[in-house]
Amino acid sequence: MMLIHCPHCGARDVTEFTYGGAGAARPADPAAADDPQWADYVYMRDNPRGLHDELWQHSAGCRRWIAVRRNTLTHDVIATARPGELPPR
Amino acid sequence: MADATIRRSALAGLAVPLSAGSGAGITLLERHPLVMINLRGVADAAFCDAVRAACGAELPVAPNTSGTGPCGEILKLGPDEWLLVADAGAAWSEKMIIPGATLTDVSHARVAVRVKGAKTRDMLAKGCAIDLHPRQFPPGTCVQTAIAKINVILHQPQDADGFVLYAPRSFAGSFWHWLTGSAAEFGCHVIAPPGDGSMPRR
Amino acid sequence: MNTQHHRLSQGGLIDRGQPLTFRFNGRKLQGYAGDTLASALIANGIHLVGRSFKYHRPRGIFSAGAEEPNALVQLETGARTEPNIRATQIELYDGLVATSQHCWPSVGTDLGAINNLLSRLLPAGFYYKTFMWPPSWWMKYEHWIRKMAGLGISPRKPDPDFYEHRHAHCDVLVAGGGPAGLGAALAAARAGARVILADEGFQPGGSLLHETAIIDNLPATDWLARTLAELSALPEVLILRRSTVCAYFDHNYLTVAETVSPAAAGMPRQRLWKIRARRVVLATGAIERPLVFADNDRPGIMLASAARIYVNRYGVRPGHRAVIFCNNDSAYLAALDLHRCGTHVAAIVDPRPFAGEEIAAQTRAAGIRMIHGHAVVRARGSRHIGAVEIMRCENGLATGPVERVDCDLLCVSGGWSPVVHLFSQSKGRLHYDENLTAFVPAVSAQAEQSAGAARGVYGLAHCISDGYAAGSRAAASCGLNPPAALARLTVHQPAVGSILPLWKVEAEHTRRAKSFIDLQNDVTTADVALAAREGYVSVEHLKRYTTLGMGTDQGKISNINGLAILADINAAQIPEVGTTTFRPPYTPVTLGTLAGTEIGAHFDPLRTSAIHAWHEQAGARFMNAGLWKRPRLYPLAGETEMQTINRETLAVRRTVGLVDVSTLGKIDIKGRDACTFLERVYINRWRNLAVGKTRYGVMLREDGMVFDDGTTTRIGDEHFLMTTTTANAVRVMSTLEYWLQVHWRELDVRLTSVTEQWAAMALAGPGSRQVLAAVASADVGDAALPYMAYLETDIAGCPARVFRISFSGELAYEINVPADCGAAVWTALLAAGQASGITPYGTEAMAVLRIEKGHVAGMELDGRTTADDLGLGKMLAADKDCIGKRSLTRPGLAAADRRQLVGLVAVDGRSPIPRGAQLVAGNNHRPAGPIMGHVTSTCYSPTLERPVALALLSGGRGRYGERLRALSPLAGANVEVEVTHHVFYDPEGKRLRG
Repeated sequence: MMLIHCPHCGARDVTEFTYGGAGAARPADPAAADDPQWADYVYMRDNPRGLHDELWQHSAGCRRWIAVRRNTLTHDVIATARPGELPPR
Repeated sequence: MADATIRRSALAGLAVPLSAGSGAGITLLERHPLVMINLRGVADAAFCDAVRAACGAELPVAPNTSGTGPCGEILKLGPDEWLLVADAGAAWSEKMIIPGATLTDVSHARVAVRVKGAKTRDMLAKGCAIDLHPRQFPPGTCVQTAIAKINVILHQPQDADGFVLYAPRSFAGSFWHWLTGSAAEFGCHVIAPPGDGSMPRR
Repeated sequence: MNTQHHRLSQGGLIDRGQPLTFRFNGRKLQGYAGDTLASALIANGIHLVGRSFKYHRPRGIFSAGAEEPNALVQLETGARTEPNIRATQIELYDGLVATSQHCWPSVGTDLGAINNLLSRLLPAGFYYKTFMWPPSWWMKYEHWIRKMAGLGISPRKPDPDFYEHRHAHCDVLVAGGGPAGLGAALAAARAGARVILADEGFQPGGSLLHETAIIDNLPATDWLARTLAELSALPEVLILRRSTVCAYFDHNYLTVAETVSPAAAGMPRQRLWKIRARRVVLATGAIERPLVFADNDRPGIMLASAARIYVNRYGVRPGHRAVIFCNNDSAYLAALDLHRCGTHVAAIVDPRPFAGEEIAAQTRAAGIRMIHGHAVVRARGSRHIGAVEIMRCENGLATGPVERVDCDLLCVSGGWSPVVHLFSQSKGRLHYDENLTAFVPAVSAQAEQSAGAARGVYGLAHCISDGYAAGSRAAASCGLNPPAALARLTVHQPAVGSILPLWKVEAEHTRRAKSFIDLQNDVTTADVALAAREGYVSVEHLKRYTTLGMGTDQGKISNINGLAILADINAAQIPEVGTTTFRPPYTPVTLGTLAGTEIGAHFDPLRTSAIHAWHEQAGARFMNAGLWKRPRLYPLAGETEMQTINRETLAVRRTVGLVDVSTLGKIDIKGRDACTFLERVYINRWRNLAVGKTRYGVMLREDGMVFDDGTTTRIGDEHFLMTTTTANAVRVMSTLEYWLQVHWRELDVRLTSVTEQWAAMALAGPGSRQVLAAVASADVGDAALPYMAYLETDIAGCPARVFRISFSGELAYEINVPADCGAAVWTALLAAGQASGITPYGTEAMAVLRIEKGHVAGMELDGRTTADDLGLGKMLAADKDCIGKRSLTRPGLAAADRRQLVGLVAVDGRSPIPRGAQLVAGNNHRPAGPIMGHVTSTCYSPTLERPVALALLSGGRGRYGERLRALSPLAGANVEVEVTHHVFYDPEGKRLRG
């Protein structure tokens, strides 16, 4: 069972968290985005083998959404931070 | 509070006195009625001062901690979120003026049970995945976690007299079932809350 | 009467002063405390314990541990019966009852043994090849196949016992309590670490329990007792007995299945420990491999190490005249132990030219004949071995004259396989060691290390010190000062030397006999060869095609031989063939243990409202709504459900009703930007909502589909209270938190879930105002509390929030009171309404009321509908953005043929319209495609006195008056329906404003 380090609560079992998928930056002005751009934001997510930046909510804990950098192959959790605050790769 | 006389705990009829004889390894004691206030704010110096002035207690800022004062306890729930807990009748209320704070009354949202006795940690470990070893979970520690699929606040008060568990009100029946079931092998003693204004069960 | 004719007069860790009586296949037998079922059976001279799975060949006790492939028994009877339990691991107790499996009518006379004669018709893949035609007959075949295969019987009665889970944390978890594990635990514990030592046996110690070696001038068992005493005295050490570390998961999370003993009332039967360890030491030992030769499955053939265990630990004699067949030195110890206990060791057959010097000298001194350069080519005898055939052997090929040696015990040893199961589960990488002829741990993936025989380190002294070193390192990596070094151990034990790989023995005259690789699944060398010829050359395919390595033992003793033989056939190296995947659990774990206390009514926790006790008392029938229990209806004596629903519905339409709506999600929204937040969340406008007013809102997902709906009230300038549907309460809260915490961090908004804080009830019907006025302290008249207004008042002495909103279409109020007061206010309202005939109603009547009114609910908010599809498109505010708005301009979401919400009425005025029915054209006899829509919600409307339904119909709003067929093959219905507007009742909304 994965152990995720919540920046606010410390290391907790993955069962305390809810997976939120890869975050995507919302176009600043949705009305200005064309259909392909918007569809890309709404639907398209990478499914990499290896490092993946994800959002999880500590739903049974502090209820904060956190950013998690995880290796999808080994399940190693490399870093966690507040959303948008993961260090550059 | 105006409603004090008609308050009926979600554990009314469940948390009834029960003696396990002299061998009780676990004692369960409901805390009711309580005042519980959700407190939000940015934990800067001014806010800590304001809370101290209004509540007479130190605002806990480190993760998984709590503060205590003459009125009651302050449990840290998140980076900008706390729970004020006091016995009903205390001066704490949603109407307190604390600059920078958002207060929401959640007095009825949870049931609270104190669990104490020599076997408390063994019993809690049946459902709680948090390490309760005294070095890892000293008095004053407060965490939120899931026990038996129920989201709970688990607090070890400064007086170290056991642990207090707060569970969502609607889960009270299942929560009590888990508590008593887990405690059974150790001998389980139940003490009714003092001054419980609950109506008799039908 | 003592039946133990094969019990030694002394020695072993059994208590001869504590005899135990048990039954095996109906026979009353005796054993001693400290026995396993297997050792007690051997003490009674019983070797034949079962029949094999496929050929029904007689099978005996092959091992003395978890690897046992043959001696699987049905333990106990009735509700507590358990199938496929290894006799080698059952701790004997008084009154134990066990029976053989895989045989009918009895283990002695088994009709299925005809399969052995027909075996040439039963090759690998037989079932796949034979029972494929006709496909529908598989169910018939399976019945007989299962009967013939004689799998164990699962209990038919409810389990009288209970099971528990227990979380635990430690610095160092040591898996295995043998020499290496004890060494590791000792080192870590001396360093002050929190240690958990888990051992599968009822006596920890592993090989120390049967070793004859002297450690530091102490017999091994005394050294063991001294070590256990030191560990037990330390407060931070937990020793788990009868506890198998069965699985190794991510991030050093391991599960341990413990059998609780002694069984006692109030105690669980088994426990599943869920352990998070900072470091893990895998001291799981090694398992001896058998040798593959003709008829190598006869009862009386066992692993050499097992023979040692039976003699030394249990004080039983597994045979009177033994032959040892081995390719390494360790089995010579078995010869010496057997010799010492009085068994005649007729010969040691060893394909190597010579054995290790020291061990050979001891063997010679004992007068035991050693036949080098030879192999056993065949075992003779059927129900028990009677003799072996020996030939000269080189590289597995036997030649020359055949010598027959009589024996009633054949001990085999093909070398040792480190138990790398947990290491492999941890995703560690294995390496094939040519010298050891075994896979050993090479590269760790987690914070673990293997120690002792589990990594191919053999010999007591080496294992103990290897474990001690591993324990010291583990403690050090937890930040503890390592313990004092282990004093140099003096261990008197002969050195064990080289091994000569010998994967199978072939001789011309035994070619038609069976040489078993996997005893449990009856997989022979011929099966592997056939699989290879048919192209199953990958080891994973080989496993699935031949079943090699499947079953309860998962190939613990067969896998290496199998893949070595496959490598040989493919002319490949063993590392190229590789191993199959090691999956948890290491040994079988009962479902009860995995489920723990989460069974039956407690599978999930339940949620109940503050008014639940009243509902129960009133005889409500409940439904599950997520985890909630909600009252469906409150039947009166003699009523049918339909009568109840109609009565409750009409009470709301005609007088007044009361319904518990506490399950609706309630979110307190506070902050300077609360209003801005709502503008972004909902499709409609919020800036112009006055304090004290309520508004209906619809929120979308970012893909434009409706996510949820509900009312939100402006309680203060910067304070709103949002309600959500019951089903989406958790998801809406989580989603709003997502937007605030991830995307809109500039907004000053704080969300608090207050679902649990407030009990909520809806008072609905023309008489509702009169009831409310009777109990409320404030003026609730139409002027003070008009439609869609909000006020705070006391009700029956309790502070309450009153919202004049309506889901039923009648004059109605939703009342929220602090939950502890919910029951008191509910009863106060009922008392106040008694004169007007107030009727509590459940979710069934609530659904009828909302369908009559055309309100959408979960069935319509199915994740595929837009606001416009639901007739709510006009709510979309043009001059602002909100979640999902941009998606609405995508072509697919604006298409004219989208399914839109409509009403349906049965044309005949009486036929029910089934939910889920598809809307098609055609007639009674011949409905015609294409499907144009489907029925989402349906009811009998007591108000309109006819069945009505809501449906989603392609281009529906342009088709009012059209006649279609509602077709439901499931319900056997084909109903003519007319399309109408979706609001059936009071379309102008006069009544709710009344």
